[in-house]
Amino acid sequence: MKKTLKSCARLALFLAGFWAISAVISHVFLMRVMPGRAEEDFVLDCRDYPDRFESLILGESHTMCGLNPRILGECYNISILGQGYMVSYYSLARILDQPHERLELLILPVGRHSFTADLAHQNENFYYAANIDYLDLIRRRGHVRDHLGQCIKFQVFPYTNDVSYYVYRCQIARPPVPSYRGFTPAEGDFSKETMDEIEARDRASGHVGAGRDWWNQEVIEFFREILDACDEEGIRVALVQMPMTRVYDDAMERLVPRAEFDARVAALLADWPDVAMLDYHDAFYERNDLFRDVDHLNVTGADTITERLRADLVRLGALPDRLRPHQAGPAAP
Amino acid sequence: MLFNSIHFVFFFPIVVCAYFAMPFRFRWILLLAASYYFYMCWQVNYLLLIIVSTLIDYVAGLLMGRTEDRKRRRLYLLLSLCTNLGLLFSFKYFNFFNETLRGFLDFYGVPYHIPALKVLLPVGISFYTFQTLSYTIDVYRGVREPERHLGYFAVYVAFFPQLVAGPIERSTNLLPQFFKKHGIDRDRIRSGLLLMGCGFFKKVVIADRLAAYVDAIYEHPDAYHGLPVLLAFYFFAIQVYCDFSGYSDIAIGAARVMGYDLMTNFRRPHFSKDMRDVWTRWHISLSTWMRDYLYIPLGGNRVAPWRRHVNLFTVFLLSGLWHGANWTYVAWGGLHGVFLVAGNLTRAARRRITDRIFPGRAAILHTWLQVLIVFHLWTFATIFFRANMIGDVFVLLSTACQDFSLWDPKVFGPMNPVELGVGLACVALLHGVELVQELTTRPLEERFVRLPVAARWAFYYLLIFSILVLGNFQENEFVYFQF
Repeated sequence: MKKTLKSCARLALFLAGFWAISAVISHVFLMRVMPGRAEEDFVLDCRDYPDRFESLILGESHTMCGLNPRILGECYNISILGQGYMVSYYSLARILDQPHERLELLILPVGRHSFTADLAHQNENFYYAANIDYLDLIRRRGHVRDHLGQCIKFQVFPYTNDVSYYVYRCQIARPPVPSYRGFTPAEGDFSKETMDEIEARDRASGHVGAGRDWWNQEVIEFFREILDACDEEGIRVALVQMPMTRVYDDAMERLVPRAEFDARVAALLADWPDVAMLDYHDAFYERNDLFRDVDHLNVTGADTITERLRADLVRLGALPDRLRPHQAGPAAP
Repeated sequence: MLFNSIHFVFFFPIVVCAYFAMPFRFRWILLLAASYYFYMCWQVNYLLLIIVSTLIDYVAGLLMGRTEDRKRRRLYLLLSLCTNLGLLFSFKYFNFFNETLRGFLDFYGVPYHIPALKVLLPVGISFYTFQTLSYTIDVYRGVREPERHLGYFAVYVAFFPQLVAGPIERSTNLLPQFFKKHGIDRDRIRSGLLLMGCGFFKKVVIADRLAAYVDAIYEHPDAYHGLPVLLAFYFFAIQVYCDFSGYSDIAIGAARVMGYDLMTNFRRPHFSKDMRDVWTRWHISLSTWMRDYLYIPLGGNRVAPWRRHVNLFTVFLLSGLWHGANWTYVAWGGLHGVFLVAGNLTRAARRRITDRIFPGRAAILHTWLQVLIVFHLWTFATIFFRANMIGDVFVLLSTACQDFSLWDPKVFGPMNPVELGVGLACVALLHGVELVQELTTRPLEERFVRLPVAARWAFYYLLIFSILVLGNFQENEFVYFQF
């Protein structure tokens, strides 16, 4: 009996040590390795300046470094790497729950990779674990075991997702840059790259995923729910097809034919006639200098396309009275 | 269920606690239910195959035990062989041979209409088929008595730690252990968990990390040139070792926690001194199976030399085919057969030459040269093992020679420098530990348990957190699951 008690005490001590070390690593990882979480900043900003934000950009890396909210007036960009419609839906739901929320316009990216099954599943990582309503997800999908596992993995041990990858990506390859309302300006000039075709092929196939399920019903369902939620709240929605390099679009064409994709999106949007679709996918086909890499705009490209977006939104009446005169210039305030 | 899944993190402690809490006479029921559940997590329907295989071999064993008539015993053995190999052929090889025949006949313009079977390859079918076959062959040979308890026999066939990727256990080793009552043994639990930890390190930290690099090259054989391709060759040789031996470590460790001893499956194969030595260190449970149930029945070493070489080559060709229904595996097995036959034929001559070049104390240099050469031969053969098709092998070999330079920034194409650095450091660490073990006779674990508690705890924390922090938790399947 005494021996058993001693063993139990040792085990408890070992586990306490484990939790203590784990907590330290979590803290270091989230605070030092990872870039700031835009949603958190946004929620805090909303709390401090309740009447400030009228429009919101909610997307993935293409909009994160591709749309400058400074040019769009009282706008906030809470795009994050690889954020699909599922996570966008939960992020939006969380934002709409805020007491001082007064959104009028939601800008969502749409591209040939947007409805892929892989984007929905691959990117359920610690970035989003705070936003995803796992109970709701379990209700929808029914995979109790999988989601419980994910919840534990990303919320209890957020660092268990290949730290070395993030150390390199977030600290060395792309050192943290000052962001402005979630917009992360990117430097670089893709016109100087040489491995463009391989990169385009890899990137496109990575975006569409191994399953090649580019029109996934679950993702479409989340997309619909975003539009429904905006409808209910009286928020206008602008869908933006972000500019891509020609080489990327050519690689993507082999996986997702544009004509078929456009037809499906048009049919999908038939229920929401007020949703504006702004297609810039080929706007910079001849301007690789406006890209950081094969599918992301650099800061000049971002400013150029955001100017164009602003003009189109004003023309469509989607950015009405309170759109303040913008000041073109550097991304950071 | 994958060992490297969150699911297993819950499953295993629950099974272990229930196992020790349960009265001995009911433990087999728990193990059987846990093993079937473990398998059903992948595919429910294919559990039927395991059950059919279990029942056929159980009945065949009993029938063989009841008669002394050699003809009848042979008939029952044939029943077991035909059923098991028939299932294996249908699910694993039919489409391969069908497609090969179709290609051959198409070439000569002969119409061929037999369609491909639309079936999934049942996970671990090659492993449990060989395990259960070894039982019926042993009973036929009179090496062991037939097992009369269906429950214990079913647990032997489906024991969850080694069900889907081995080690391929012999009934003479594993079955008797189910009849022994295993109490809670702190040392065994500690040793088992430590082994599992090392297995997880090999799998999620090393193998899955290198897999990203390897996949990028092998999936696009013409996309890279020079150094990155060469690195991918070496990385795959290390990946497949860490992946498979990692699985074996986890399986052996998990069984040890519950009180069972599974056979050793790997013994530092990268330190092999010749190709024969490789097969006493790599996938030992398969190589001994092939030796006992195929090579020896074909005549073993007691036949004429030319016949021995033919038998050896045949066994390795079949060993390649066992791995997968693809010409790449056949080529891989054949290549090993060639290496072994060539090694046997040149052994005496090589010994004469090396005795002259490396006299006396220089023999140690010869040993390390051998290790280096064998590692490179092994690595060369693994190109066939990993390539998606034979044609890719030649593309890869030619791209490896194009634009080759010792420093090429494109090495970071498939993987960033930090990840690559971490991967290489872990590989160096693993091989450093294995080198120390190779040079000493006493197991390192024996030394480890003598360390002070603080040092042991520090090691445990280091192991756990290096797995958690550096591991890849995308739940990648083990390479050998496909076999």
